[in-house]
Amino acid sequence: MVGRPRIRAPRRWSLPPGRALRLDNGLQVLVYDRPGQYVVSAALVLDAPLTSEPADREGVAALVAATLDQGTALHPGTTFADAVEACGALIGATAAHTHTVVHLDVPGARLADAAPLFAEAVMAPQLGDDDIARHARLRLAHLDQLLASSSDRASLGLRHAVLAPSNRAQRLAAGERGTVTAVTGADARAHHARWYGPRGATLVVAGDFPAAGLDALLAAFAPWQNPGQPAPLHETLRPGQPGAFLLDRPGSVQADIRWGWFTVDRLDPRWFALQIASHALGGAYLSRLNKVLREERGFTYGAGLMSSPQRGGGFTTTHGSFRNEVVGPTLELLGPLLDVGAAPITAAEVARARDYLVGVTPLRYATAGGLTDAVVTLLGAGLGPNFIDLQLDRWRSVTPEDATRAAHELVRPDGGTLVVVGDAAALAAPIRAAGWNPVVLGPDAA
Amino acid sequence: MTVPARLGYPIHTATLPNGLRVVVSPDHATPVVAVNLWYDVGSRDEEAGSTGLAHLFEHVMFQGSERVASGEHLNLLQTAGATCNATTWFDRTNYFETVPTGVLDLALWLEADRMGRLLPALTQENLDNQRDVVKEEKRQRYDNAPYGDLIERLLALSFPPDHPYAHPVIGSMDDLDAASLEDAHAFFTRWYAPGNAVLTLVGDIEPADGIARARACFGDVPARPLPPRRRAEPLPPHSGVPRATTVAPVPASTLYVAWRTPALGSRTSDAVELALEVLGGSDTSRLHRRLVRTDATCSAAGSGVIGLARGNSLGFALARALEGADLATIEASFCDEVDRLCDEGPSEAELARVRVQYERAWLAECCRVEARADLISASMLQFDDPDRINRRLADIASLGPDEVRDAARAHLASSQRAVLEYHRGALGGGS
Repeated sequence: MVGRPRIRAPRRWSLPPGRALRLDNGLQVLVYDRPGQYVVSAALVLDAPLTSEPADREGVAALVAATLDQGTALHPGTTFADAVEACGALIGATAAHTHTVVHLDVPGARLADAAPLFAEAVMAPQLGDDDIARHARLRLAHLDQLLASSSDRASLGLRHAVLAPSNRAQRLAAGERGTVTAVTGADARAHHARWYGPRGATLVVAGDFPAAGLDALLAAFAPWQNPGQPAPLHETLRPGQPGAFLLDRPGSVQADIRWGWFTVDRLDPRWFALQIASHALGGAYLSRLNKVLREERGFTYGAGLMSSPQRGGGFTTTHGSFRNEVVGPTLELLGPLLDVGAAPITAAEVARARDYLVGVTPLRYATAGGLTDAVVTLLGAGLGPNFIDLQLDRWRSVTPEDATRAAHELVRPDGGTLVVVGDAAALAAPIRAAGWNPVVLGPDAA
Repeated sequence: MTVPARLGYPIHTATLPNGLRVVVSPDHATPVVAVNLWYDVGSRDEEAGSTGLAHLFEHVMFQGSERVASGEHLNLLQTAGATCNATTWFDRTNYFETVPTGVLDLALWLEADRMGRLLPALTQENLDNQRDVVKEEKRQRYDNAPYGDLIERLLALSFPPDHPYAHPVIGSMDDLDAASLEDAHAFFTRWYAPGNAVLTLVGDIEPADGIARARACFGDVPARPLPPRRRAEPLPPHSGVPRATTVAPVPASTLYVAWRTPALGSRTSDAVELALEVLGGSDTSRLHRRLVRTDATCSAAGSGVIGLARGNSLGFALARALEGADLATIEASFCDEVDRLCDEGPSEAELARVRVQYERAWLAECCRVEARADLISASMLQFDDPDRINRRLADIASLGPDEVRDAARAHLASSQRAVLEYHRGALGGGS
């Protein structure tokens, strides 16, 4: 019988560098050659935050994104999607709060066929009145699906409460009922005409592909121009008013709990220590939260603490689903579990968090899709791919005092905003008994 | 330039004297190794009154073994920079971790300790705690989720009550409550034998080295005989359109359709899968065009197959109604499209689209070492054919429109469907 094997330390890993190019129209291109990654992942990131939307048309950017593949000048109507599918490609787009991204996934051997279609969707979509109207209806149906999910409603409720109403990021990126219904085809075409352009845009390409594929992609975007494209205003996030909210969901057998704090983004010097602290408190399997609430008490399938860095601010949230009967005891336990003033984060906890975060990094960027998504996220946050190596270095230098201080300053058990989604008739009393005085909102409230 | 029909992932196999099959597929692109262990046991092997036991048991596997403390398996591996998890399905239970190369020996040792020496750590306390956790998982994923009872209802419509696939993997609350320590011990002794498992390593490791390391850790796990299995003969297609209707607090009324399709592993089963892709696999598919675009009665429409190893798979389709649309009208359009596909078959262009989309999805799966390891374990365990991963695209490319049409006629006719209707009701059970 062999004894328990020792671990051999991994060799130091850093992100294999990409190639940076710039087209004459200003489009920045980042290329990552990844042998063996036979499906190319390309993404065009547009510098178009949702602050660019008119206040009474929130959701227009998402409707444009959803409708890019519903026909182009060269391939009207469904002939466009047919052409995309026929070359084995997948084209889609998402409007995030800080940027819009258009994705192309295609086997590298077919990149040259897909490249012109990808550029067409970006440069010359039809955005017809009927298509926009149909997608607005689909968006409302999707919103119904989202709000019917207890956990989605809880996460949305927390975002709503933890950020200030003056922030566009407080509300759903794809828009909410009142404003989505107002969007017309003309609004969509105006948004596209104004904000889709090479200024501030970056094309990320990762995978295993022939040179001709990249040439085709660059050639397809070379004619792209938008002289009238403005520079957008990126918002600075502000905290909402802390409080407690109980969102009624009659008949629920579990409560979705979110306890959140307005915290920081990746540019704050405390970011790296906050990540280490978050992992120790609620990221690892044997984190303080999961160890007690799942592995000792059996209250939940999983409890955690997660930071969601935005651009210009961020928030950090405790999350989990708990059967109704244990909501009171859970709320009583959460505060002490998160109180790093009483129980500072230890050197062993920091080492475990650091070794996990550093250790899984190579795997996270091993696939073309994983790499492209990560670079897109960083670009959307106003950063670049060099942040990946910087972050590895910073994690390595976080001390227990740094982690404790960051958590102590940012994740206060005597503050924050509580959102609970569940059966108000069963939950109001235990929540009050745990010291919270929640505003109760009806089943139809988002 | 075209994608080669045959992929070239290297495959090296060995069988240890205790029966454990080992597959190694080197890939040195990233300094990690994906470790993947499939046990040939799933919810189909549960006895009446013991539903959910296979999955509950999967949880208990993380609560320690003779030389590993409760929770230590996951904790050690996470701390070493690995990802780690397990899942249970109708036909199998898989355990997997992707580890930095220098952590491979520890991962193999941990897996071997729980394969060979679990019972000393399988206590009443561990079982009771994970029973609570699994019941919370059931509440979170099923009981508290819109359409959360969908799979339970589709299975009940599709299989007779005593059939191995008639109940969902998560099981029932009553059966979870009834699971005893003796049941859990017996389940381990019965199914967690080396001869009932496949170990696959994909990544930064050479074949001979990988096999030697597996032998060093697993070689002393004693062989055990395997019990006879419950049989599941292919069931005939549905007749008379069995139908179930429910009013539930769902956000939109929805039509679900199920067919009994062929079990995994035959040309016909592949042809049915392609037919369901043509019918409802994407936004250019027939169902989407008809129901979402043309009729504009639905917010979503699609179809696919839940692949099963014994007797039958489960073909399915869904059509989610827009507010005010009538399910009977939607069903009539749905049946039109199904019967048109069965009559005419797919066009060459449609089938070509579906094939290249299949190719992209397959290549994307294979690009991830952890997914490639899982595909190889599946191929080895279910088909005794680890090279299937390399041949899969050629197999799919060889299916023509006539074969797809014939498979659709034989298994997907509208007269062979079963129907489940969800009607939107109020939260809390009111109407």
